[in-house]
Amino acid sequence: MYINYARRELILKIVYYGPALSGKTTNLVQIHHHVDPSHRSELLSLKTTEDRTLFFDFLELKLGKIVGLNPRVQLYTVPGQPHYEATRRLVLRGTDGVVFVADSQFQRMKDNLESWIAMKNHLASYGIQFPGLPLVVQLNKRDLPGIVSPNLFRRALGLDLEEPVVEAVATNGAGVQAPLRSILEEVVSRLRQELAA
Amino acid sequence: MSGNGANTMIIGLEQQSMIDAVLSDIMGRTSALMVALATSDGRPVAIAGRHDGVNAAGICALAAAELAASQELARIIDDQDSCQAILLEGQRCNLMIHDVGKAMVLLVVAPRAQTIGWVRVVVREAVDGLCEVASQIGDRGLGEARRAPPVSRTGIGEALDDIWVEGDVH
Repeated sequence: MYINYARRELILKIVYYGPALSGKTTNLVQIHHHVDPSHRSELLSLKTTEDRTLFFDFLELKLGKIVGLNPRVQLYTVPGQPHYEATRRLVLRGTDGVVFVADSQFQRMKDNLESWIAMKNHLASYGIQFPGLPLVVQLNKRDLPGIVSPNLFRRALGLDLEEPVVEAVATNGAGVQAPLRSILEEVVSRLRQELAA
Repeated sequence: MSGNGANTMIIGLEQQSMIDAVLSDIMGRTSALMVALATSDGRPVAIAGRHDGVNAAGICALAAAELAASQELARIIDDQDSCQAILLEGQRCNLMIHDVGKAMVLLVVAPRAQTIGWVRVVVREAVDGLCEVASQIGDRGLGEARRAPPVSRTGIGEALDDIWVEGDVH
Protein backbone atom coordinates (compact mmCIF):
# COMPACT_ATOMS: atom_id res chain seq x y z
CA MET A 1 0.00 0.00 0.00
CA TYR A 2 1.35 3.40 -0.90
CA ILE A 3 -0.20 6.78 -0.13
CA ASN A 4 1.38 10.07 -1.17
CA TYR A 5 -0.36 13.08 0.33
CA ALA A 6 1.71 15.60 -1.62
CA ARG A 7 0.63 14.08 -4.94
CA ARG A 8 -2.78 13.02 -3.57
CA GLU A 9 -2.19 9.46 -4.75
CA LEU A 10 -3.21 6.07 -3.42
CA ILE A 11 -1.42 3.31 -5.34
CA LEU A 12 -2.53 -0.29 -4.95
CA LYS A 13 -0.74 -3.35 -6.29
CA ILE A 14 -2.81 -6.38 -7.26
CA VAL A 15 -1.24 -9.60 -8.56
CA TYR A 16 -3.06 -12.11 -10.75
CA TYR A 17 -1.59 -15.47 -9.74
CA GLY A 18 -2.34 -19.00 -10.89
CA PRO A 19 -1.11 -22.02 -12.84
CA ALA A 20 0.07 -21.93 -16.44
CA LEU A 21 -2.61 -21.21 -19.06
CA SER A 22 -5.31 -20.46 -16.48
CA GLY A 23 -6.06 -17.05 -18.07
CA LYS A 24 -4.11 -14.47 -16.06
CA THR A 25 -2.93 -12.48 -19.06
CA THR A 26 -6.37 -12.82 -20.65
CA ASN A 27 -7.85 -11.05 -17.61
CA LEU A 28 -5.52 -8.08 -18.09
CA VAL A 29 -6.20 -8.00 -21.83
CA GLN A 30 -9.95 -7.88 -21.13
CA ILE A 31 -9.54 -5.15 -18.50
CA HIS A 32 -7.44 -3.19 -20.99
CA HIS A 33 -10.25 -3.56 -23.56
CA HIS A 34 -12.98 -2.46 -21.16
CA VAL A 35 -11.36 0.65 -19.71
CA ASP A 36 -11.24 3.94 -21.55
CA PRO A 37 -7.65 4.73 -22.65
CA SER A 38 -7.70 7.99 -20.67
CA HIS A 39 -8.05 5.92 -17.48
CA ARG A 40 -5.35 3.31 -18.08
CA SER A 41 -1.77 2.80 -19.21
CA GLU A 42 -0.81 0.67 -22.15
CA LEU A 43 -0.56 -3.03 -21.38
CA LEU A 44 3.08 -3.88 -20.83
CA SER A 45 3.99 -7.52 -21.53
CA LEU A 46 7.35 -9.23 -21.18
CA LYS A 47 6.91 -12.34 -23.30
CA THR A 48 8.95 -15.24 -24.65
CA THR A 49 9.20 -15.83 -28.40
CA GLU A 50 6.37 -18.39 -27.94
CA ASP A 51 4.14 -15.56 -26.68
CA ARG A 52 4.14 -16.85 -23.10
CA THR A 53 4.66 -14.53 -20.14
CA LEU A 54 8.37 -14.30 -19.29
CA PHE A 55 8.41 -11.90 -16.35
CA PHE A 56 5.05 -10.18 -15.90
CA ASP A 57 2.28 -8.24 -17.58
CA PHE A 58 1.55 -4.79 -16.19
CA LEU A 59 -1.44 -2.48 -16.51
CA GLU A 60 -2.22 0.63 -14.47
CA LEU A 61 -5.78 1.92 -13.97
CA LYS A 62 -6.43 5.53 -12.96
CA LEU A 63 -9.68 5.73 -11.02
CA GLY A 64 -11.62 8.93 -10.39
CA LYS A 65 -10.93 10.98 -7.28
CA ILE A 66 -12.16 9.57 -3.94
CA VAL A 67 -12.10 11.82 -0.84
CA GLY A 68 -9.42 13.94 -2.47
CA LEU A 69 -7.16 11.03 -3.44
CA ASN A 70 -6.50 9.75 -6.95
CA PRO A 71 -6.44 5.94 -6.70
CA ARG A 72 -4.16 4.17 -9.15
CA VAL A 73 -4.39 0.42 -9.40
CA GLN A 74 -1.37 -1.47 -10.65
CA LEU A 75 -2.21 -4.92 -12.01
CA TYR A 76 0.48 -7.56 -12.49
CA THR A 77 0.38 -11.14 -13.69
CA VAL A 78 2.96 -13.77 -12.87
CA PRO A 79 4.42 -16.15 -15.48
CA GLY A 80 2.61 -19.48 -15.12
CA GLN A 81 5.13 -21.95 -16.48
CA PRO A 82 6.63 -24.17 -13.74
CA HIS A 83 10.27 -23.10 -14.23
CA TYR A 84 9.49 -19.44 -13.42
CA GLU A 85 8.99 -20.05 -9.69
CA ALA A 86 11.64 -17.50 -8.66
CA THR A 87 10.06 -14.85 -10.89
CA ARG A 88 6.60 -15.47 -9.43
CA ARG A 89 7.98 -14.86 -5.96
CA LEU A 90 9.50 -11.53 -7.04
CA VAL A 91 6.28 -10.28 -8.61
CA LEU A 92 4.38 -11.03 -5.39
CA ARG A 93 6.64 -8.70 -3.41
CA GLY A 94 4.68 -5.86 -1.86
CA THR A 95 1.33 -6.97 -3.24
CA ASP A 96 -1.78 -5.57 -1.55
CA GLY A 97 -4.05 -8.34 -2.80
CA VAL A 98 -4.17 -11.41 -5.01
CA VAL A 99 -6.65 -12.60 -7.60
CA PHE A 100 -6.01 -16.33 -7.86
CA VAL A 101 -6.96 -17.40 -11.39
CA ALA A 102 -7.79 -21.11 -11.39
CA ASP A 103 -8.52 -23.38 -14.33
CA SER A 104 -11.92 -24.98 -13.68
CA GLN A 105 -11.22 -28.19 -15.53
CA PHE A 106 -11.03 -31.25 -13.30
CA GLN A 107 -7.81 -32.39 -15.00
CA ARG A 108 -6.10 -29.11 -13.92
CA MET A 109 -6.92 -29.42 -10.21
CA LYS A 110 -3.45 -30.74 -9.39
CA ASP A 111 -1.89 -27.71 -11.12
CA ASN A 112 -4.25 -25.37 -9.27
CA LEU A 113 -3.34 -26.91 -5.94
CA GLU A 114 0.39 -26.82 -6.59
CA SER A 115 0.19 -23.19 -7.64
CA TRP A 116 -1.93 -22.34 -4.58
CA ILE A 117 0.54 -23.97 -2.18
CA ALA A 118 3.54 -22.35 -3.87
CA MET A 119 1.83 -18.94 -3.65
CA LYS A 120 1.21 -19.35 0.05
CA ASN A 121 4.85 -20.33 0.56
CA HIS A 122 6.10 -17.31 -1.40
CA LEU A 123 3.88 -14.97 0.59
CA ALA A 124 5.05 -16.58 3.82
CA SER A 125 8.64 -15.84 2.76
CA TYR A 126 7.64 -12.14 2.84
CA GLY A 127 6.02 -12.56 6.24
CA ILE A 128 2.47 -12.60 4.85
CA GLN A 129 0.19 -15.32 6.23
CA PHE A 130 -3.24 -16.60 5.19
CA PRO A 131 -5.78 -15.48 6.12
CA GLY A 132 -4.79 -11.86 6.23
CA LEU A 133 -3.95 -10.82 2.70
CA PRO A 134 -6.98 -9.78 0.62
CA LEU A 135 -7.73 -12.60 -1.80
CA VAL A 136 -10.31 -13.36 -4.48
CA VAL A 137 -10.48 -16.62 -6.42
CA GLN A 138 -11.59 -16.59 -10.04
CA LEU A 139 -12.77 -19.95 -11.36
CA ASN A 140 -12.00 -19.45 -15.03
CA LYS A 141 -12.94 -21.43 -18.15
CA ARG A 142 -16.48 -22.24 -16.98
CA ASP A 143 -17.47 -22.80 -20.63
CA LEU A 144 -15.33 -25.93 -20.93
CA PRO A 145 -16.49 -29.52 -20.28
CA GLY A 146 -15.37 -31.48 -17.20
CA ILE A 147 -15.27 -28.61 -14.72
CA VAL A 148 -15.30 -28.79 -10.93
CA SER A 149 -18.06 -27.21 -8.88
CA PRO A 150 -17.25 -24.09 -6.83
CA ASN A 151 -17.99 -26.04 -3.62
CA LEU A 152 -15.57 -28.81 -4.50
CA PHE A 153 -12.98 -26.22 -5.39
CA ARG A 154 -13.46 -24.45 -2.06
CA ARG A 155 -12.97 -27.70 -0.19
CA ALA A 156 -9.87 -28.63 -2.21
CA LEU A 157 -8.18 -25.31 -1.41
CA GLY A 158 -9.52 -25.11 2.12
CA LEU A 159 -11.28 -21.81 1.47
CA ASP A 160 -13.72 -20.31 3.97
CA LEU A 161 -17.24 -19.52 2.77
CA GLU A 162 -16.42 -15.81 3.20
CA GLU A 163 -13.60 -15.97 0.64
CA PRO A 164 -14.98 -14.60 -2.65
CA VAL A 165 -15.07 -17.11 -5.52
CA VAL A 166 -16.14 -15.76 -8.92
CA GLU A 167 -16.98 -17.92 -11.94
CA ALA A 168 -15.63 -16.61 -15.23
CA VAL A 169 -15.06 -17.08 -18.92
CA ALA A 170 -12.27 -14.55 -19.27
CA THR A 171 -11.91 -15.01 -23.02
CA ASN A 172 -15.26 -13.29 -23.55
CA GLY A 173 -14.94 -10.92 -20.60
CA ALA A 174 -17.47 -12.67 -18.33
CA GLY A 175 -16.48 -12.59 -14.66
CA VAL A 176 -13.49 -10.31 -15.22
CA GLN A 177 -14.71 -7.10 -13.60
CA ALA A 178 -16.25 -8.76 -10.53
CA PRO A 179 -13.06 -10.19 -9.03
CA LEU A 180 -11.21 -6.93 -9.67
CA ARG A 181 -13.95 -4.94 -7.96
CA SER A 182 -14.05 -7.43 -5.11
CA ILE A 183 -10.29 -7.38 -4.49
CA LEU A 184 -10.21 -3.56 -4.52
CA GLU A 185 -12.96 -3.49 -1.91
CA GLU A 186 -11.10 -6.01 0.23
CA VAL A 187 -7.86 -4.04 -0.03
CA VAL A 188 -9.53 -0.77 0.95
CA SER A 189 -11.22 -2.46 3.91
CA ARG A 190 -7.82 -3.61 5.07
CA LEU A 191 -6.35 -0.13 4.62
CA ARG A 192 -9.09 1.33 6.82
CA GLN A 193 -8.37 -1.28 9.49
CA GLU A 194 -4.64 -0.51 9.37
CA LEU A 195 -5.15 3.22 9.70
CA ALA A 196 -7.62 2.76 12.55
CA ALA A 197 -5.24 0.49 14.47
CA MET B 1 7.89 2.76 5.82
CA SER B 2 4.97 3.53 8.01
CA GLY B 3 4.66 1.71 11.27
CA ASN B 4 1.17 0.43 10.56
CA GLY B 5 1.76 -2.57 8.38
CA ALA B 6 4.42 -4.57 6.62
CA ASN B 7 3.83 -3.13 3.14
CA THR B 8 2.33 0.28 3.74
CA MET B 9 4.31 3.38 2.82
CA ILE B 10 2.83 6.81 3.45
CA ILE B 11 4.62 9.90 2.20
CA GLY B 12 3.68 13.33 3.51
CA LEU B 13 4.16 16.81 2.06
CA GLU B 14 7.47 17.41 3.84
CA GLN B 15 9.06 14.16 2.67
CA GLN B 16 7.86 14.68 -0.91
CA SER B 17 9.43 18.13 -0.94
CA MET B 18 12.77 16.70 0.24
CA ILE B 19 12.61 13.93 -2.37
CA ASP B 20 11.85 16.43 -5.15
CA ALA B 21 14.89 18.49 -4.08
CA VAL B 22 17.20 15.47 -4.28
CA LEU B 23 15.89 14.50 -7.73
CA SER B 24 16.27 18.05 -8.93
CA ASP B 25 19.87 18.07 -7.70
CA ILE B 26 20.64 14.89 -9.67
CA MET B 27 19.10 16.45 -12.78
CA GLY B 28 21.22 19.56 -12.42
CA ARG B 29 24.54 17.83 -11.72
CA THR B 30 24.34 15.05 -14.32
CA SER B 31 22.27 16.66 -17.11
CA ALA B 32 20.02 13.61 -16.71
CA LEU B 33 17.13 13.24 -19.14
CA MET B 34 14.94 11.70 -16.48
CA VAL B 35 15.18 10.70 -12.84
CA ALA B 36 12.57 8.52 -11.16
CA LEU B 37 12.14 7.24 -7.63
CA ALA B 38 9.88 4.23 -7.04
CA THR B 39 9.07 1.96 -4.15
CA SER B 40 10.93 -1.35 -4.24
CA ASP B 41 7.73 -2.99 -5.49
CA GLY B 42 7.50 -0.58 -8.42
CA ARG B 43 5.13 2.23 -7.43
CA PRO B 44 6.17 5.71 -8.64
CA VAL B 45 7.13 8.12 -5.85
CA ALA B 46 8.54 11.04 -7.87
CA ILE B 47 9.67 11.71 -11.42
CA ALA B 48 11.77 14.58 -12.73
CA GLY B 49 12.78 15.49 -16.26
CA ARG B 50 11.21 14.66 -19.58
CA HIS B 51 8.45 12.11 -19.14
CA ASP B 52 5.49 13.46 -21.10
CA GLY B 53 3.97 10.68 -23.19
CA VAL B 54 6.09 8.12 -21.34
CA ASN B 55 4.52 5.19 -19.50
CA ALA B 56 6.04 6.34 -16.20
CA ALA B 57 4.26 3.71 -14.14
CA GLY B 58 5.55 1.02 -16.48
CA ILE B 59 9.10 2.38 -16.28
CA CYS B 60 9.03 2.35 -12.47
CA ALA B 61 7.61 -1.20 -12.45
CA LEU B 62 10.33 -2.39 -14.83
CA ALA B 63 13.16 -0.64 -12.96
CA ALA B 64 12.10 -2.16 -9.66
CA ALA B 65 11.67 -5.58 -11.28
CA GLU B 66 15.06 -5.35 -12.99
CA LEU B 67 16.82 -4.60 -9.70
CA ALA B 68 14.84 -7.23 -7.82
CA ALA B 69 15.72 -9.86 -10.44
CA SER B 70 19.41 -8.93 -10.28
CA GLN B 71 19.39 -9.04 -6.50
CA GLU B 72 17.73 -12.46 -6.58
CA LEU B 73 20.33 -13.63 -9.10
CA ALA B 74 23.12 -12.39 -6.83
CA ARG B 75 21.51 -14.06 -3.86
CA ILE B 76 21.25 -17.42 -5.63
CA ILE B 77 24.81 -17.29 -6.97
CA ASP B 78 26.56 -15.59 -4.08
CA ASP B 79 24.09 -16.37 -1.29
CA GLN B 80 23.88 -12.73 -0.30
CA ASP B 81 21.96 -9.65 -1.33
CA SER B 82 25.00 -8.05 -2.94
CA CYS B 83 23.55 -6.25 -5.95
CA GLN B 84 22.91 -2.61 -5.12
CA ALA B 85 23.04 -1.10 -8.60
CA ILE B 86 22.67 -1.93 -12.28
CA LEU B 87 24.12 0.01 -15.20
CA LEU B 88 22.56 -0.36 -18.63
CA GLU B 89 24.53 1.19 -21.48
CA GLY B 90 22.51 2.36 -24.48
CA GLN B 91 23.23 4.00 -27.82
CA ARG B 92 22.14 7.48 -26.73
CA CYS B 93 21.84 7.24 -22.97
CA ASN B 94 22.84 5.17 -19.97
CA LEU B 95 20.47 3.93 -17.30
CA MET B 96 21.52 3.50 -13.71
CA ILE B 97 19.21 1.74 -11.26
CA HIS B 98 20.23 1.94 -7.61
CA ASP B 99 18.55 0.68 -4.48
CA VAL B 100 17.66 3.20 -1.76
CA GLY B 101 17.82 1.12 1.38
CA LYS B 102 15.34 -1.73 1.12
CA ALA B 103 12.32 0.46 0.49
CA MET B 104 12.94 2.35 -2.75
CA VAL B 105 14.63 2.27 -6.13
CA LEU B 106 16.25 5.19 -7.98
CA LEU B 107 16.44 5.31 -11.79
CA VAL B 108 18.65 7.85 -13.55
CA VAL B 109 18.65 8.21 -17.34
CA ALA B 110 21.78 10.18 -18.30
CA PRO B 111 23.01 11.14 -21.76
CA ARG B 112 25.82 8.96 -23.04
CA ALA B 113 28.05 12.05 -23.24
CA GLN B 114 28.02 12.28 -19.45
CA THR B 115 30.75 10.15 -17.87
CA ILE B 116 29.43 7.09 -16.06
CA GLY B 117 31.84 7.63 -13.18
CA TRP B 118 30.40 11.07 -12.45
CA VAL B 119 26.84 9.78 -12.63
CA ARG B 120 27.76 7.04 -10.19
CA VAL B 121 29.26 9.55 -7.73
CA VAL B 122 26.19 11.80 -7.88
CA VAL B 123 23.80 8.86 -7.56
CA ARG B 124 25.60 7.51 -4.50
CA GLU B 125 25.41 10.89 -2.78
CA ALA B 126 21.74 11.16 -3.70
CA VAL B 127 21.03 7.68 -2.33
CA ASP B 128 22.49 8.72 1.04
CA GLY B 129 20.15 11.72 1.07
CA LEU B 130 17.16 9.64 0.05
CA CYS B 131 17.87 7.01 2.71
CA GLU B 132 17.73 9.83 5.26
CA VAL B 133 14.34 10.91 3.89
CA ALA B 134 13.11 7.29 3.83
CA SER B 135 13.95 6.93 7.51
CA GLN B 136 11.56 9.80 8.29
CA ILE B 137 8.65 8.61 6.15
CA GLY B 138 6.85 6.37 8.62
CA ASP B 139 5.64 8.27 11.62
CA ARG B 140 5.07 11.69 10.01
CA GLY B 141 3.22 10.26 7.02
CA LEU B 142 1.03 8.08 9.19
CA GLY B 143 -0.17 11.11 11.12
CA GLU B 144 -1.38 12.73 7.90
CA ALA B 145 -3.11 9.53 6.82
CA ARG B 146 -5.02 9.27 10.08
CA ARG B 147 -6.22 12.88 9.84
CA ALA B 148 -7.43 12.46 6.24
CA PRO B 149 -10.96 11.22 5.45
CA PRO B 150 -10.84 7.46 4.71
CA VAL B 151 -11.48 5.93 1.29
CA SER B 152 -14.60 3.79 1.54
CA ARG B 153 -15.03 0.19 0.42
CA THR B 154 -17.98 1.04 -1.82
CA GLY B 155 -16.28 4.19 -3.10
CA ILE B 156 -13.44 2.28 -4.73
CA GLY B 157 -15.85 -0.23 -6.31
CA GLU B 158 -17.99 2.56 -7.74
CA ALA B 159 -14.87 4.31 -9.05
CA LEU B 160 -14.04 1.14 -10.99
CA ASP B 161 -17.61 0.94 -12.33
CA ASP B 162 -17.26 4.53 -13.57
CA ILE B 163 -14.33 3.75 -15.86
CA TRP B 164 -15.59 0.34 -16.97
CA VAL B 165 -17.11 0.28 -20.46
CA GLU B 166 -19.36 -2.57 -21.58
CA GLY B 167 -18.14 -3.72 -24.97
CA ASP B 168 -14.70 -3.16 -26.39
CA VAL B 169 -13.35 0.40 -26.22
CA HIS B 170 -11.12 -0.22 -29.25
